[in-house]
Amino acid sequence: MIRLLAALLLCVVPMLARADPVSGYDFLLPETRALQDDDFANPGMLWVELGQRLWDAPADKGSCRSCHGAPENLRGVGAVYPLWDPELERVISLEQRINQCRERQNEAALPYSSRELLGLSALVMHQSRGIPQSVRTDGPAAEAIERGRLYFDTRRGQLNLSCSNCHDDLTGHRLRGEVISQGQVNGFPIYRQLWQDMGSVGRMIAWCNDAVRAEPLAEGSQMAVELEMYLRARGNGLPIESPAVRR
Amino acid sequence: MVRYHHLTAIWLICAGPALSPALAQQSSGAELIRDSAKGNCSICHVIPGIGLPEEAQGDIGPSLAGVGGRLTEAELRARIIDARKFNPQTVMPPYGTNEGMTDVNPRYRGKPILTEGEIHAIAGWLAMQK
Repeated sequence: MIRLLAALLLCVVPMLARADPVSGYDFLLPETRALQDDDFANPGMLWVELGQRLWDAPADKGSCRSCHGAPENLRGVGAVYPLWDPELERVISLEQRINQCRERQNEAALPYSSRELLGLSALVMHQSRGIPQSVRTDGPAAEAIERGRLYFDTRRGQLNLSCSNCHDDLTGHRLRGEVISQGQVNGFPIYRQLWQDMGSVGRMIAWCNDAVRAEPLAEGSQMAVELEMYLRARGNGLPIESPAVRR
Repeated sequence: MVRYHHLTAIWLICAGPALSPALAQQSSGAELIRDSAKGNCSICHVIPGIGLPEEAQGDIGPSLAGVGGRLTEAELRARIIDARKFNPQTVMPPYGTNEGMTDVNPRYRGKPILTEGEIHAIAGWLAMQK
């Protein structure tokens, strides 16, 4: 009986340790929030506009519009990525789905972190603004999420820190003057002030790896996509904010 | 005034060789504590006297105000080298060893964050904070 109780407790404690999801928006200074809230001032909207131009072009070949119509038709779609692809039998990111579509239309796949791929993913994610992030956590995706969680919880790098050390256990504390957020990704792709540029979840993961002096995960690698899958699942329910502004 | 400056300069030149090792250690200790590529200590700790406002210093580790009154230089050194020896769950990086590390970036592989000399300088500076 005691053993059973102990086992139950062991199962419950890690679940309790994960706090309710809070968007990175809540950790921003008021002026940064204001920048995100104003579509005319939000620098991320420049990428959404670029995405809009790419959506329509080229008109003579298979543009996004030729199959999907207006981008607004994809409202809700971005909120469920990454997802399990039954044909490929693995989870894939939104960026990978965009490239898959392009290749079907005999268009070249866009490089990760290229302006064009960020533009198209920003456009698609932007259509889901306000919709709760809702990646599937059941079925075959569950194993991928579990691998992502394991990566998140493992200490790595010369600084010997896991993602969880800071983004679960030290949320609300300060690194110098910066308040540590939960590391939620509901606003991606984001315009990051530090970069003066737009960035995907993949870019952010590699940046964090570098900050703890670990080997950066390559964007688009299966581990990076599965880590994003875990990050999204961990923040399920948070409204999509793309394009969010972060410091 | 001119003569005064002149004399001061001479005094500094004379005193220089005798004072410099200790002074050098003091200033390099403080510099290494501030340097974000080296100790970067105030990312987590408040360290009065380091030349940074308190709100620009972290609140993750304990304040190091007066730490020299609580820990000896050797004790400070041991904590900087590997704080896991005192608390296995610590989030303080081990500055003097790479024992048990995984997935270290090739640029940093096989070497600790700080050299023995750098740890010596930092512990020396902290030991003087009483």
